[in-house]
Amino acid sequence: MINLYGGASAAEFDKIIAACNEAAGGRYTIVGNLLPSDADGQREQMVRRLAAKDSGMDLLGMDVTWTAEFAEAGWIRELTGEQKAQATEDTLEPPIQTATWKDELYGIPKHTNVQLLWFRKSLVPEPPETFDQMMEMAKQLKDEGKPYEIGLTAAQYEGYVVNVNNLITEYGGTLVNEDSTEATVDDATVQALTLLKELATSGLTSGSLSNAQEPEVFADLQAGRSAFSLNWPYVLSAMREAAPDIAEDLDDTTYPVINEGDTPKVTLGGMNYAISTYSKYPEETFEAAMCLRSPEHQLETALAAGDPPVAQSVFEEPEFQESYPMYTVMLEELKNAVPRPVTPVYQNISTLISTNLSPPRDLEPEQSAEKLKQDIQRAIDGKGILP
Amino acid sequence: MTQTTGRPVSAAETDETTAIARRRASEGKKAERRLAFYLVAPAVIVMLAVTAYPIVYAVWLSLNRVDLRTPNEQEFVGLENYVTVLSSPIWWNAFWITLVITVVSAFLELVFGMMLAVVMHRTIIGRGLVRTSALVPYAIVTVVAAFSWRFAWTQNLGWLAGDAAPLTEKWPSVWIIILAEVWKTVPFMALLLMAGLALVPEDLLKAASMDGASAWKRFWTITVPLIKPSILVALLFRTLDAFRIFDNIFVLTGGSNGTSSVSMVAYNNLIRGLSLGIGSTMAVLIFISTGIIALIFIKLFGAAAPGADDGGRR
Repeated sequence: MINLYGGASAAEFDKIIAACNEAAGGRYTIVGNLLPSDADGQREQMVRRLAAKDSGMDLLGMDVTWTAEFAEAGWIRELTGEQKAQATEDTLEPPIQTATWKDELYGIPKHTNVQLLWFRKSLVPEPPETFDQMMEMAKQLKDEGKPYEIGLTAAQYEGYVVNVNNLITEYGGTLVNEDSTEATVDDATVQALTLLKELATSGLTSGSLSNAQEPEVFADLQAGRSAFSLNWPYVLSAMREAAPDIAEDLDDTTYPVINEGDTPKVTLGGMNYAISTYSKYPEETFEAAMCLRSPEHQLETALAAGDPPVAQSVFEEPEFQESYPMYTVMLEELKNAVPRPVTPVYQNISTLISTNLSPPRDLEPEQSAEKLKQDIQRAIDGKGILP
Repeated sequence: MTQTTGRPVSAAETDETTAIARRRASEGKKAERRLAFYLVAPAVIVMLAVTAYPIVYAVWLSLNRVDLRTPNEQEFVGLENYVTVLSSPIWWNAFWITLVITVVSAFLELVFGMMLAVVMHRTIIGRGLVRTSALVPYAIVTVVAAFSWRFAWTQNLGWLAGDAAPLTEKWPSVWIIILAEVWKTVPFMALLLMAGLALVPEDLLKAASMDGASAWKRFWTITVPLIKPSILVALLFRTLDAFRIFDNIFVLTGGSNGTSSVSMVAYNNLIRGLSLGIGSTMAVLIFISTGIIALIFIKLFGAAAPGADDGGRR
């Protein structure tokens, strides 16, 4: 019996589990177990049991940010040789990076995600390329009395860290160095924070920006308040159900950049499958994982649950292209996407970022960047306290 | 003393008899005490194992740098963890918030609890109904009640919030947390105080009213001094509990905007962050703080456990 933890409750995933159980031919049975719906809650429950060396968990659906932490703690198995080749076949490169730590592969990419710039075709004839252009267009729309808001997630949670990471990466900076021994907060961070503060105090965003998570940003677009929305690809299929006339008016483009001609660099989301070190059936678990995320099943998940696939071949399927007309934009972004800071203490750093830099309208770019640097260094040295 | 044997007895014999009697009595008492120890020993051993061992282990952990995410890097660091925690603004902010919540909610609970206790004590009609319905808030599961309060105060959702979003700001959130705490625990205080009120003799109050004392004066000069032990016990329990507040804050704000209490910060570091060293340090500090609170109450205010012989001697 293979116990799957993570992603088992996604829409129509039980059909995929049933299909894989049939394909197993009696050698193993995959059992999907329920976890909380938010990533933090899932991590909490998994991490407790892994630290206690529980053998009751076999297959783990890890958020892309947990790879370094779980690998460093010795909770997940390395994939080498044959398994590594199978896991990375036909898979886009950036998701493979998210499953790697210290040059070893620890996870099997299952699905990925990138944010796009959604906008209303009728209000914005020519999509903006840079942040400055977007803010100018929004200001003009505001002056004309039309819907103008720019929607982005800025509540004190992980979604805000994603946006902050986007901006810092676009300015060419990082937060930690490669093997996570030093905090590399520098000018790029200060510039990113300046832009964030400008956006938050410009009057071009929603009034409850500091409370906005994905549902709030979606609601602003649905209610016709937003002209621009920085959100995940699920917006299109959800809007088709919620407000079909707005869905008709929606178009998408790549995430805004800083200077014209830059390559958009967005933060990757998604999930990787990992095999627990304490699992009693590592071979069968690997097989089960490969079945659950096979290209056919990735296509099914993409159509049913809105989780973009990691397999290059799926992007070329006509069915997928029909349901995801923005697939070209997504592919372009996925080729250059970056992970969030790759470090075993990512949990600490994420909490530090969302606590120190929230709410965006109260940011003091220089001081906040300096304090962030010190806090991140302390966290890396094991001296930090989580707020 | 009369003798039933009728034989005359000398003074020396009386002394010896008394001595033998006293020795036998104290031996009997000693034997009884020893028996008492043997009978209680199993329970004491179990209690020591269940409570003392975790406390000692927590203190030991707090002297090490232990993190479940880096199981190969454990080292003894002495008091370094304490320095880290005690010099962290996160800890002191949580401590300050906890103190505010503790003091304010204990005070409000005392006032409202006393009013409710007087009402429950003096009701003539429907006494059973009044007493039972007053206990309903205490009977509701804390988390369920906290969710109700959270939805009631959410912007555009609950009927208490209207357009504002009080749960996204620090001090309005703290007041809402205090409100939820007070609403939940006033019945508990009222129960403890009512037990004390029942001990106040009616004749004293009647005599005072005949002498022309108003209800207010009767309350302050007769009732309150007589139920002081009850008040102190109720306050002691309540303060110790309020200092360790966790569930209301967890549900209402999740600790955001700096509204975490010391228990929440310890939870975040111990369970979410898996940093056993820092988390145990915080747990030990909370333990010491509640010990100090108990000490203040017992030594300074003279609270005593119910049923103690000295009834709260200073």
